[in-house]
Formats: sequence, C-alpha cells, structure tokens
Amino acid sequence: MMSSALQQNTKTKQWFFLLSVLCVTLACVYGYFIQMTIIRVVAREKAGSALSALRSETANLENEYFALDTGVTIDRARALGFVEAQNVAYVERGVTSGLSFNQNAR
Amino acid sequence: MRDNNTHSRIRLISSAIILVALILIVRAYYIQIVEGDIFLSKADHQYTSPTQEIFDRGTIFFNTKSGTLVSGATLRSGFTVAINPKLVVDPESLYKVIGKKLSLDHDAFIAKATKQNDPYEEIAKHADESVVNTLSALKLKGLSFYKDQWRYYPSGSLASQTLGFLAFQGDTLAPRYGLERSYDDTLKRNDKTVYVNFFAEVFSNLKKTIVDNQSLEGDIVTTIEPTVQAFAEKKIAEIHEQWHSKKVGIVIMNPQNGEIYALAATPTFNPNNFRDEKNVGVFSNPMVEDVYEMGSIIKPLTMAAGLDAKVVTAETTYNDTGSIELDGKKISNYDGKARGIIPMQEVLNQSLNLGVSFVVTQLGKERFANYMRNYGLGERTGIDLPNESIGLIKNLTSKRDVEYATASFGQGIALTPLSTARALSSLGNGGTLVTPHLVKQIRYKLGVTKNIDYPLGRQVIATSTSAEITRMLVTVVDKALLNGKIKMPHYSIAAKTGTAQIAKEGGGGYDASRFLHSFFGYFPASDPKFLVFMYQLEPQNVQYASQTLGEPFSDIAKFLISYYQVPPDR
Repeated sequence: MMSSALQQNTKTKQWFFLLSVLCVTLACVYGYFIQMTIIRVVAREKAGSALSALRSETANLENEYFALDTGVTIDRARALGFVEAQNVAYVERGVTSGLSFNQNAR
Repeated sequence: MRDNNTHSRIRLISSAIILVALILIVRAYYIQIVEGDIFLSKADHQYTSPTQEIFDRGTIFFNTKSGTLVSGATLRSGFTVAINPKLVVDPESLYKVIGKKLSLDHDAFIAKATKQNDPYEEIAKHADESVVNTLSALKLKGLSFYKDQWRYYPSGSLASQTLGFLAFQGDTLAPRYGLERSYDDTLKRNDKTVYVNFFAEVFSNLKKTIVDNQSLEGDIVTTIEPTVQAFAEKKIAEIHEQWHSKKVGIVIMNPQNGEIYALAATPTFNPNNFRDEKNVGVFSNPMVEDVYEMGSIIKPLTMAAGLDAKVVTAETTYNDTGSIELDGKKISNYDGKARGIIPMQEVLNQSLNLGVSFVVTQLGKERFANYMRNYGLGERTGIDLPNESIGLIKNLTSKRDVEYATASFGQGIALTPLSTARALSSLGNGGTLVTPHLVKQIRYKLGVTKNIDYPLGRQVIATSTSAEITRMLVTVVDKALLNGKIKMPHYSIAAKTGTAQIAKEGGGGYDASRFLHSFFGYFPASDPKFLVFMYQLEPQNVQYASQTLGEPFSDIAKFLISYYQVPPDR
C-alpha cells in the first residue's frame, strides 16, 4: 500500500518536472521567436523606409534628368560651339558571298 | 495531514494568481485611465507612423534607346503634418515657428488651430523629411507627423495623356486615363501598410503568406523613348503656337512591329497638378479617342489597293477632267483644274481626287470597301490604352458611288489618328498590320519578367505592292512635296500630306474655312525604322498641310536619323 503511494508520488513528481521543463522550454522558444519577429519587423520597417526614401530621391533625380535633357537644344549646342559637319562622308560596307572576315574588304 | 498540506498549497497558488491579476488590472487602469492622456501625447510625439494605409503603386518606366529605364510614374514620400487644436495653447506662436518652414497660409492655419472641438486638422501635405526632422526635434505640443507617399510624375507634362493619372473616386484613389488605367491590375498594390504594431505585424505577415495576392503585382516598361517624346512634344507645341490650331497630335512608331516611341497631343497638362487644369478635355488622348476625316493621306491606301488588285500600275493613265459628277454630286480636284491624260504617279504627286476615284472605279466598290476594312480602318487597333474609338466607315456600305469616291481621298469616313497610322504602316512594312503598343515588358514583384508579344497581324497587301507604293511615295518626296525641299540625298523618305475639309457643325456639307492637316512619312523607305504621323485641327490662316507640317516632319526625320544613327539607304 505504502509502496504504491510512493510510486505514484514519484511519478507525479516526474510529470511535474517534465511539464515544468516543457513549460520553460516553450516559454523560451516563444520568447525567442517573438524577439526574432520583432527584430525582423523592425528591420523590414527600416528597409521599407530606406527604400521609400531612395525611391523618392530617385524620383527627384529623374525630375532633374528630364529638366536637363529637355534643356539640350540645338541653339544651346551652337552657343557652346557646335558646328554641323559640312562634308559628310559615308562608308559603304560591301555585301559579299565570301567568308565573314572578307565582308569589310571592299 | 496530507490533505491540509494540499489545500494550503492550492490556496497559496490561487492567492498568487489573484495577486498577479490584481496587479495587472491596477497597472492597466493607471496606464489606460489615469495616465492615458500622457501616454497618448507621448505616443503622438514618438511615432511618425501612418494612421492610415500608405499609398503604394507600381512604376511606369520609359525606355531610353540604350535600354536605360527612367520612371515616367513613380512614388514620392514625405509627411503629412497635422495639429490637435485641443493641445495647441497659442496658435499665433506656433504659426511663427512652423508657418514659414511649411509655407502655411496664416489665416487658414489660425482657422484650423482654433477649432477647439476638433482633435485632428491637417495643415500641410507632402512635407520634406528634413523639415519634419527639424520640427520634430522642437517637440511642439499638438503637432503630429504622418508618413505619406503619393504618385509622382518626374517628367511633368511629358507623355501625360499616355501615362494618365490617379484621382479620387469617392474615398479611393482610382486610375484615370492612360496606362495608369489600362495596367491598373499590374500597378495596384493590395498589401496595405497600417499602423506598426509588432503583434499585428506578425499576423498580417501570416495572412500575406497564406493569401498570396501579389502574383500580378509589378512594374511596367513602356516603349516610350523620353528624348524622342520630348522632341516630338516640342515640335507639336511649336506647330500649335505658330498656327493657333485647336489640337495637334503626333505618333512616332516602328512600322515593323508597332512599338510606339512617342505619342503626344497638345494642349497637354501636368499630371502632378491635374487639379489645376480647367479644361478636362485635355486629359483624354485624341490620338486614340477622336475620329477625323483624314483627307488625302488616305490616297496611298487607295492607290495600294489598286496596285495590289493589279487594276492599275504606276504608269496607268487616266483622263483628268478636273471634276466629275457622281449620284448628282460634284467631285473635284483640290483646285478644280483638269490635268488631261496623266499617270498614277502624278495622282500622288499632285494629290488628285479624281485620280483615286478613278482607281475605285477600276477596283469596284466592293473590292475597294474590302481593302479599306482589311486595313483595319473600321476596327480598334488594340493599343493598350483605354477608350479607343472605332473608325466610322459606314459610307463603305452605301449603294451610291459618290460615297466610295469620297472615301478614296479620305472624306466621308472618320478614323482615329492611330488607326490611320497603323494602316499606313502596312504600306512600308511589307504589307502586314501591326498592333501599335506602348508596353513591352512587365516586371513582376515576384522577380519574374514577362516580355509582351504582339504578333504580326494579317497581310493586307502583297510585299511587292508594299515595295511599289513605297517607291511611288519616295518619288512624291523627291520630286513633288514642297518641290523636293524635304528630300534627303542619302535617305529615302516615303511621305504624303493630307488637307481635309471639316464638316459643318449640324451637317449640310463642308466648311470652306476649316481644315484638318495631316502628314505621314516613313524612313529609311527601303527598310523603315520609323513612321511619323502628325495632324493638326483647324490651323488658322493657312490652307495646305505641306505648308504647316512639311518642315516639322523634316526636322523630326533629321533628329531621328541622327539620334538613332540610322545608316543611309541610298
């Protein structure tokens, strides 16, 4: 009788210990995952903000690019010293049925 | 003894649980009720996070000739600045601090800051981050900053009618006009960025993982070449200003595959400030939405039909009497003068109405109508823009000869400028219909890139016919058009002008003083890389298209040849 009660008490203690360890482990795992989630969410938010800022900066630069691009006119080029070529010479590339390295021979 | 021990343990644990619960409840009471306002105020200062979803949308790229992508429509970020009038003690002193930095109107600010029952009033939108950082450091009571993102068009008014814009439809931003509308399924974003809370974030991410709604999200790459687009817009703006016309439009496309390098019309607008535009008519794209009687640039289509059916050749002659009568209606050349017996080449050189009506009589009404339908004049081109109109070619089902005769020189049938350009492309590309298009690639968020294929359409004229009509149109440029002024010695250019009469409002014939000028040309004619089509509606104090559009076309052709370094073809 006494032996049976002792055995049950030992089993209960074992279960209690096992469940306690499980609880602590789960709590640690939970804490770990929450921490990792927080780190990643923060990192993602930071990356998102950086991306947003970069995109905005790129948009500003593109705006400047368009302004400069449309500012390049023939009048501006002439003012900067551009002169149209007077005697344009064209080079004719021969069409032959020979080997490819001969194509420019003519 | 054992029972007592157990009971005391249970009591101890219960007491501990109740104690912890009580501590939590008391703490929660203090945080929520007693110190709630303080924490709320602190949070207001601490976070510059959005209280509502942040706008997000895909980018529309222009594509330079070297393949570099430049945004035509993108996003810009900044801050919305708001005040809580309940917390603003002295509006005047607050205005002194922030008014200049945020460019605020004094009276409007004071009116908002003195609304004592209102906890939220926006005072500035699209504020720069540097300004917000400066103001945030001052820790001014009642001032809040919220992250904001909005649609931005870096190129301003460039290609505005092609890009379209976003505007509020009720409470939601909806795409209006242009590519914004036709590619909304790709450009819109379904994932919303809401107030940042770690646990809410965990579950929102979980939802994203389970429900994949991003598969269709991406950016689009257009065929628009920004420098060519800018040059084309500059040219039509000059035409618009010089001739005080109601509208001027242009398309520059590759006649071989339908890629559009530039598509523009004046008057135009800046999509960043579309709210300032008083005339909402400028938002639509007349190149695809308006239909016009195009006039003489239809003659090459008629001539090509005659050549293709082998009822005429360039050398075929007819007796030009200056005018004829069909079904009781008089049809004349533009000057009413007779030319006598002349060949078909002269019909194009001198743009003779009687010459192309002769081609129709040789072809027969049915065959002519079939050719015109086959050119796609009565159908949509399939361009990836919304609201495309269909050409009005009902006259080609008439029983009267006169309707076919007038259609042969572009009167009595109304077409969109783009469908006209597509039909004219077939003259230079070997005889096939292409699909004019603006988007060549979709870059999905998932990392996949999809090239959009636009297969060649039906063969409308034989390749040999295409070569022959091209040769005839090159002769027009070399010998007739502006007396050969726009001829280029080393480049063959095929082109034709059109001066169309405009129907009187309310019907009853044509107005003698209102014209539609049009011009098309493709080059190098032996293997065309570019087709340029221009039109202008009601230019003032000038009659013929060659006078208004000849030189601008020449300038554009020279620019394209130089910019793309097109080798000479003769």
